Amino acid sequence: MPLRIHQIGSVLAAGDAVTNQIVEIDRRLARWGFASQIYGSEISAAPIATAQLDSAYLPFVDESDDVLLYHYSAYCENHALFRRSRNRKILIYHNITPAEYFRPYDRYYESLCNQGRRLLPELSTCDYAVGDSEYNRLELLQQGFAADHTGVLPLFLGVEGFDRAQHDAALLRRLKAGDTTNILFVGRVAPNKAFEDLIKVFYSYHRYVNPNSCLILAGARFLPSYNRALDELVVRLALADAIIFTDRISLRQLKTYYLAADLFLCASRHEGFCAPLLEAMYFGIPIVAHAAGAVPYTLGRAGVQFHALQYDVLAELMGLLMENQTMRRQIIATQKTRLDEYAPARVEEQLRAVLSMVGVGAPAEIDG
Amino acid sequence: MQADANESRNAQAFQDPGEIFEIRDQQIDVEALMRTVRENVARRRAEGAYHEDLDAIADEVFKDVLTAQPLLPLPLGDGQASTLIELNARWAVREVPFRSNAPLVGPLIVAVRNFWNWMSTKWYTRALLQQQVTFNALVAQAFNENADEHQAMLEKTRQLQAICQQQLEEIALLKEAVQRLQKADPSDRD
Repeated sequence: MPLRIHQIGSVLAAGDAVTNQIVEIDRRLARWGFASQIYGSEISAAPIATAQLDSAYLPFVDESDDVLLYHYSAYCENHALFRRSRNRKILIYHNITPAEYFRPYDRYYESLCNQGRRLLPELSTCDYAVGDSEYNRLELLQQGFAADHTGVLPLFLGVEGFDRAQHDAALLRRLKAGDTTNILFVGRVAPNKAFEDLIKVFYSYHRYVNPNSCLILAGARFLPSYNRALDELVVRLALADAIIFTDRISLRQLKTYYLAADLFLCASRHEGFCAPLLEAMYFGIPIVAHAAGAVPYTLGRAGVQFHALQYDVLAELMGLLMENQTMRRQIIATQKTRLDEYAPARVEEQLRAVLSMVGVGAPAEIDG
Repeated sequence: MQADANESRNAQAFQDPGEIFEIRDQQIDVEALMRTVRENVARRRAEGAYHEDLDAIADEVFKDVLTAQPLLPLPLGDGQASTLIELNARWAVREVPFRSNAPLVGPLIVAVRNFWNWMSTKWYTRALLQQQVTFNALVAQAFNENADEHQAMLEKTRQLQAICQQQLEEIALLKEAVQRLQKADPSDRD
């Protein structure tokens, strides 16, 4: 009888970084011969055919030999299952956005984030806890988790989906028409990702350095008041023809936007990991990113990081990154080296190490 | 928002690109890059570029949008709202200093009474008072959190109603389109 390893998340959705991580871990666990099962409070991701609603976990709650991996990225009522469980318990902390970012725009998300943060210390009664970045691990320590019971398990970069997906040739042609320079950011349109700063930086670049440029903001729009403010800012700065808000898109479209991008610009004030940085590295796009939250930990020595929003300096820097091919190649090469540190084989080793902390030895890999 | 705006304005005070961005890649001549950035900024500024106060523009836009459609007020009845305000004002119970209005001997009465209170009851009641304040603080916090969550749920309901309305309108348009297609001559469809 194989050892049962359960993973519980909140909303399982296609394209969501946490859902992707759950799926990637599940694939490894199944390959290593464990009886792996995924649960979510809601399931809207078509690729996870075997996922079940979290209530299906209840029969296993008292099984002390089982292992439970609880993915915590948002307040969700199923934390009660984790707290009640007598399994060997591992918390995987993906970070919760500080509530103040949502306060001006949406009381519901503000409340969810507040509840999520308030609950975190109460989840410390687990056998082991990991953050998906060192930044997140340090937050766990601040919340009272014991240092010797915490570690880091980075996100798996799931590139097979990109490799399989066929890009949209017509869209790519449109994006590259007239030799347009495309600046890309990928992430849901949330205030912590500071889309207004992206727009301001891009304005300076577009207006004074390269008018033949376009800012592509690829991510779901879900906060009506924030969306209205951003739309109004775009109009006020006369950038309506130069900025694309894609809203929710397919993997095929996302791949196309990455293929069309000349530079990846991230202005986020808070990120728990920022998986799109790895994707940009994978697609060989030079990165310019705000050194905030987990971004410096994810980038390491790669890319260009900025500490302050001085628009003229950033605009000129972006211009030089487009022009100077030697520097551009060097930045891309260092990013590739950084990406190697997130190679699936390395993250698999870290996953094995995490499991060993609760007495689980992952069997040797069986080919095929 | 204000803090972020201040952070951005402070950033404007930086002159040296080296304080703005950082490249940790030792293969890149960062000094030369910064020199070029500095020269380009100076040249374009001399030509009249980069004169806008982008932070002020964005602050104004965001303020206008958020003021035009503010978040819902506390969804409590007038009575409940005033009770909550009262609770927030009064949860911290404090000792009331003894006063006397008696002419001349008033200060003496106050001093004697204070001394007696200090001797007889102060150290006993202070512990009780502290327990009461702790309890009151928790009650006030719980009520405020409930009110916040109630408001958040109401906001979410409003958003969902807006989405439902939008979808109903889309369904109506689709129905019309289907009806048009059904009425059309089959030969038109080729």
